[in-house]
Amino acid sequence: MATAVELRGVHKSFDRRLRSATFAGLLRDLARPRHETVTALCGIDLAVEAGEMVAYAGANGAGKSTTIKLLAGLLAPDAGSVRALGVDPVRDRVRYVGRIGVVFGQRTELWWDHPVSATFAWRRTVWNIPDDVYRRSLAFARELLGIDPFWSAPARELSLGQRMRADLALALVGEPRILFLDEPTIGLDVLVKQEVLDAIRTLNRERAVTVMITSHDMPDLEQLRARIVLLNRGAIAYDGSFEELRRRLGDRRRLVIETDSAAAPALPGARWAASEGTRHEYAFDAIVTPIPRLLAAAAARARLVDVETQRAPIEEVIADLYRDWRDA
Amino acid sequence: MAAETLRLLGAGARMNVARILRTRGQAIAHTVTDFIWHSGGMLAPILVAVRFGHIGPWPAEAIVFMLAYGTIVSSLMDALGDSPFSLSRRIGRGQLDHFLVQPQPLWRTLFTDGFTPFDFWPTLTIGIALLVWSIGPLRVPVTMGWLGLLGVSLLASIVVQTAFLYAWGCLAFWAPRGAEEVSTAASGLIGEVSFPLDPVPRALQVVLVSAVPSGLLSWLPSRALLRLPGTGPMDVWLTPLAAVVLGALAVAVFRLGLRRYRRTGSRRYSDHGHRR
Repeated sequence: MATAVELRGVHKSFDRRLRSATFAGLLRDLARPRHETVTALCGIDLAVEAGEMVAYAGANGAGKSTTIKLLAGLLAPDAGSVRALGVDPVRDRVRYVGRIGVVFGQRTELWWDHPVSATFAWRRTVWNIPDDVYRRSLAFARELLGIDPFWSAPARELSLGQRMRADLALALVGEPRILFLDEPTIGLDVLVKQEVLDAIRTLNRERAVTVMITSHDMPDLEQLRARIVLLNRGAIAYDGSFEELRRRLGDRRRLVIETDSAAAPALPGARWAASEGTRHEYAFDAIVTPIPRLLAAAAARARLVDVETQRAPIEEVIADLYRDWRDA
Repeated sequence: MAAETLRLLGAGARMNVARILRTRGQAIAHTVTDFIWHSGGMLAPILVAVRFGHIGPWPAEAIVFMLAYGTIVSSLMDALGDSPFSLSRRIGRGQLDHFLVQPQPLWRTLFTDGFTPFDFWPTLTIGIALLVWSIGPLRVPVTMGWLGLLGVSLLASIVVQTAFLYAWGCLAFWAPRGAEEVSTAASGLIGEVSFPLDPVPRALQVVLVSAVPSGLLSWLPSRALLRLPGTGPMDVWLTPLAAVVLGALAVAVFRLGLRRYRRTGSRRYSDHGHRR
């Protein structure tokens, strides 16, 4: 199988100007500006095969969008090399971007005051898409994303879900070989999110389009049954399947109980994390310590006023994973 | 290359027609107000020139020629797209990314984006009509050579204005937030002049044909084309020369800024003003 995307030893950092809050500090900053270096990517090595689907996950600021920008030809790496479809995305930008599709969840390519159909016609011209390819890919995209009901509606009147479906369909026109999707499900309701994720899976399965999708929503990515690459502070913390990830991490959860006492009761199989007044928070692995057993233990040790369980935030899961590997 | 550029201009023109047909009332109001605004701007100097017969060495018809020249330049600038006028916003708001994901050279995308030929034809028509009218009484020897010089001068004036706006707009590469509106400020600074600059002190004239080259958008090229008193034989080439110099400067600054953009990217994004 051919390699669609390859990053080798990619480093990317940005300068950030530091500013004081006090007047004297502002004057000092004016005379002698202070900067700090923020490392977005730190020696990334990644290869994605043609036809593969890769979920690229990580906490906010982990470096997901920076990677997508590097792969879309919008940014150049500080060190290392980025190759996609056999070319350098920045040096061969014009030739390269005609063969990929890019969707940024919080941006739209649609012409705001024009009907959705007008943007598709515009794209056909600017992307110089041959007639037969345009007809074929448009028919496929319209059916896959169900955009016919709002095909003639002005983009400004679309709901967020409709807009995202239209943007995704637009990216498919011209039959791109790679699709880069940066947070495509952000802000979508459950139903639309499901439709978008189904479309992405179908696209990958039936058309063998290489897909790289970023999100910090792990359940979304898990639905795609893709290979998952976890980023933490600009480095790859995990690269493999979801099954393997679950096996390694267990089912990390949080238990929050409210009792009538400010003293947090000790719960076997759970680690106390924090307390705020009579509200106490514990971390536990639901596979090792089943939730009913933990609740029974809590009820036996304290007078419960309220109980809540939550999945551990992805940032915490990644941080734990990273800590585990660092300590190993 | 030219065919591809024309194809993209055609796509812009189609979008322009579609918008006009869909928002007829708005389009008519826009055209009428644009017409009134431009006509109103021309009226004062014409009335002054007619009342006194001349302004300095400029007879009334020469004033009309200069104003018509400026109107043609500004209407062509407007029709050719809003990139020069909104460059700093696009850079500052991270919207340049939308241009970079298009499989076209960036210069072509910037040149063809926002092409709206049907919004500005009334103004352009006034400009051309007044220019043609003024040539008769001025007894300008209209030869192919003179028409060629007129075309070169118009093109040079457009390049001067575009280059000036680009050079300033590029500041947003270095200060995306602080310089986000610098293109708007620069376009206010370089607005076409309504009166001949001849009576203006020499030092100020130099400023107005160099640092803030408003004088190159109508006054200096008109004076040279009409060979008014005080015009040197090489004056007709001053605007094209300035266009080359300013154009080169703008390209250099833009390339420098773009290299920085490739390195730093845009860490802020706003869709405001993008493809409305």
